[in-house]
Amino acid sequence: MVAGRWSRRVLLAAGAGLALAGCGDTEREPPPDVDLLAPSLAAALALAAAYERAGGRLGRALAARERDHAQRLREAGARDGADAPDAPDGPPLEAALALEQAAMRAHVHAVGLVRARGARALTAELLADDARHVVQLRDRLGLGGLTTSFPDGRDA
Amino acid sequence: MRERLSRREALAAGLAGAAALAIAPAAAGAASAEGDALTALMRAELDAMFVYRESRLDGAAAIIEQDLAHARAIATHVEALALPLQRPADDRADLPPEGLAVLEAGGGAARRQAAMAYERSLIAGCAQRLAQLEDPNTVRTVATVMAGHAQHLVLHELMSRR
Repeated sequence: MVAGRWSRRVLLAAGAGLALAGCGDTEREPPPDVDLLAPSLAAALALAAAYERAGGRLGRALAARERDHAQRLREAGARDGADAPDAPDGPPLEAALALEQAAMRAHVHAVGLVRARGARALTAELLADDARHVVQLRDRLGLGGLTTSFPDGRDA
Repeated sequence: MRERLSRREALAAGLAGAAALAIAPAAAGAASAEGDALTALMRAELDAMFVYRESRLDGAAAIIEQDLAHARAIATHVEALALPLQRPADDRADLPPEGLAVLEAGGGAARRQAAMAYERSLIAGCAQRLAQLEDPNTVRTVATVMAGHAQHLVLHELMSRR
């Protein structure tokens, strides 16, 4: 009798547990952090290469920043192998500007979904850093400074 | 049979109640932390508008416009939590030390340096509060607000070299 009562209780508890777990399944579960961070890593590597090609003082400084981004993303568990964003042909700094926008879109996508608080802090910091690079590039290219209140890589 | 169903129902109700009791305080705590964080962030944006309005720095108008957009965006998240909105600052006495330092700085160069320190404090404020947020869209709003302040900072850096 005791054993039977416990079995019933265990079954009910399991059912309740499944029901609670099911509540979370009403929205599609985001991919794991390693996958969410992968596009940010691919963009940082593409940017490092683009800035190395651009050369000059600004290119060397920003290439170093992007290599640092890549290293920190790997330390946070980012997976290698995501598709690199397309860089348009043309002057190197203009191509880098387009890549910065792609990197920012990757960071914005990740920042809202990653589970680890450290990964959230990292993607927010990388977003802010790439937003800084955009203003530096726009200034160098004579395009002016601020374009949007919410830099997310979707502005011109 | 009826008795067995009643026991099952009672057990199920008890489990549901226990689960609700276990979840409710945690959810309330998270909402409270998120609300406190968003309220502080809205306050910071309104203070920044006041600081730049009083600063008379070159380029301040564009920054004020963006800080207003930040305050409005954060306000929608504050309202979603049914919390009271912050009122715009109208007195230096209410400003944080970094904001007050901008207004108390001497010439243009010193004021520009103080504005850079102020933007760093606004960035740090966003970074610190990101961990307290739950909703992905709220996280994205605050992350892009933080990126906006990073752009204000580099704008000050560029202008200080001219």
